[in-house]
Amino acid sequence: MKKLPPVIGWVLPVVSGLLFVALWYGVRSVTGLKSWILPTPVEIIAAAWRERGRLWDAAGHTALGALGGFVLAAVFGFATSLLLGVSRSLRASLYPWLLVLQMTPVIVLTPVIMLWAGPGMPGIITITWLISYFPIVANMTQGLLSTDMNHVALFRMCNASRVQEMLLLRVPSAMPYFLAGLRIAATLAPIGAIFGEYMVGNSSGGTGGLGFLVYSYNTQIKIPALFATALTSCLLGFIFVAAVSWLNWAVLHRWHDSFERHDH
Amino acid sequence: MPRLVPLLSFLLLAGAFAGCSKKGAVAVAPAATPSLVKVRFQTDWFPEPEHGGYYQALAKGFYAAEGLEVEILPGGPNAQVMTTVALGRAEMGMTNGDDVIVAVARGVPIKMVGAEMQRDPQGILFHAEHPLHTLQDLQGKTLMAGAGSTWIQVLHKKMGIEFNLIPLLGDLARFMNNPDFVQQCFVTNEPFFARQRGARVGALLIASDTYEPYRVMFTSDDFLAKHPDIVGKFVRASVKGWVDYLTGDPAPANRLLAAKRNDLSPEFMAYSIKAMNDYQLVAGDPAKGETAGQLKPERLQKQIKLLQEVGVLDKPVAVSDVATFEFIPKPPEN
Repeated sequence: MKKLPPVIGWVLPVVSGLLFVALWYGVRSVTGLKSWILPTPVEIIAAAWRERGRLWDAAGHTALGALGGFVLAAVFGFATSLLLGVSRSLRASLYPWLLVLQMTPVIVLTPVIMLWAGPGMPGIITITWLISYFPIVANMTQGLLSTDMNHVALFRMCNASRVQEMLLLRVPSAMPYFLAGLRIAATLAPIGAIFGEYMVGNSSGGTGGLGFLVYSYNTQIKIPALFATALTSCLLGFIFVAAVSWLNWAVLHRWHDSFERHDH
Repeated sequence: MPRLVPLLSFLLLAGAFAGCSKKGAVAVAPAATPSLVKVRFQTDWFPEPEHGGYYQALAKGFYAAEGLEVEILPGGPNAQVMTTVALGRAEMGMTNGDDVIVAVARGVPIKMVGAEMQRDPQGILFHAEHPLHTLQDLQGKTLMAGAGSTWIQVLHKKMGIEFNLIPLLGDLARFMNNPDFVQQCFVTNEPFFARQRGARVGALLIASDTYEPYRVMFTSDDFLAKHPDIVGKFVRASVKGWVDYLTGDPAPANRLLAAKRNDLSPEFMAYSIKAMNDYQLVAGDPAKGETAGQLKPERLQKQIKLLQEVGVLDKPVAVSDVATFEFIPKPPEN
């Protein structure tokens, strides 16, 4: 496929975006829907500006929940994968049960999580953790098992121990997989935190996060502000993914083929 | 092994989070001031004017005057107020009186100790063009309401009113768009926001002579047995707070509420207070001899019978299983 000139790459999304906004205004003027049913982009941005204090506090709260759950998921996901990668029998005995846990929708577990972890931040972090844990385990385990057999043979020839093989070969070579898992988890973590706030949140500490604002704006019929909350959630998601992409670059750009390097 | 260091610190962090859930093993711990007894009070929803009396008692020192250091725990979706109190994670809680009866019938060891409101603020929101005068007017309508609500069973099975039910999503958009639409609401809440958006609306209280659920304060059987004095003090100070909130200057409680939640406007709080007064939710109907905080055994008996008839009780319960009346404050002498 021929590469698009860089200018076109910028212009096309702008054009499609403008078309979408035009369609939006068109629907609004043809149907005569009120702003509390279909607010216009300008009304949403105005609402975002008006509610900026609340949105900022709420985004901070959500970011904290998302980060807490994400970090736990990364740590425990990494550790679980090491266990699964280390031995075939461990993998055989644990993996099916992990799948069972993964298949259980978190929404069904929320009342139990509420009871065990407690309402507010502990519950929110637990929900986020559960939601972002599995992609990391699945990817990292796959990565540990996908090590280049030539490298493994080399390690075995040099009488490397199992621990050396794991820490010096399998873990580093699984990094791209781990980071791909982290990237999926990073898109899930803010969603998990907002869902957690919506399901087990309270407003302790004076702010309840973006999930709480959904309740608040919805019951108060502040629909433009509700759209502004969606916009804020979207931005928070981008920040999370951008941070993991940066981490991905920092870890991989010196040696992995997915980055263009000067030594090629 | 430098890469183990962050791993270990993460694990420590995880341990700290796990530790968060384990607090509350000690039911009543002496507070910083040794003379004050710490009491955790679990509410059913995000802080709101419908909890105003407790915040007033806190702000004006009514609890402190009784020797209590009360912490009001905010609720929210899935707040599980009754389990929280039954497990001793809070000493006191508040909820709908019906829910306590149903929970006791399921074996949850809790008891009502006083009324918060003589009537539940649950109502039905309607457009002024299509008014509801009595619950009978719901006949044949389409109603958006919480599907599991007890009052729906009562209307169907006891009052013979038939209507179509749509699950409640907690938003007003459909209501605003359809003048014939009716939906469940709190008379102290949704009408304000619908009017703010220009709709002419009214609200009909669901509580009637057939079905009159209290909103109640309750505690666990265990706490009640060990610390009846604290329960008595809490109920007394809370009722005082409620009366003061609704008849005096509500500003102290409203300031606390505003600090807990930055999305409640002063106009909304004023509306909510006015509605609680207009519908006599807390003070009750003087013509029926009702006063703030009062629970009547006869009314609870009637309630239990009704719940049994509509089939929501797992097993029969007695009034003495669900409530104790020793803490009901005496009405002030005029």
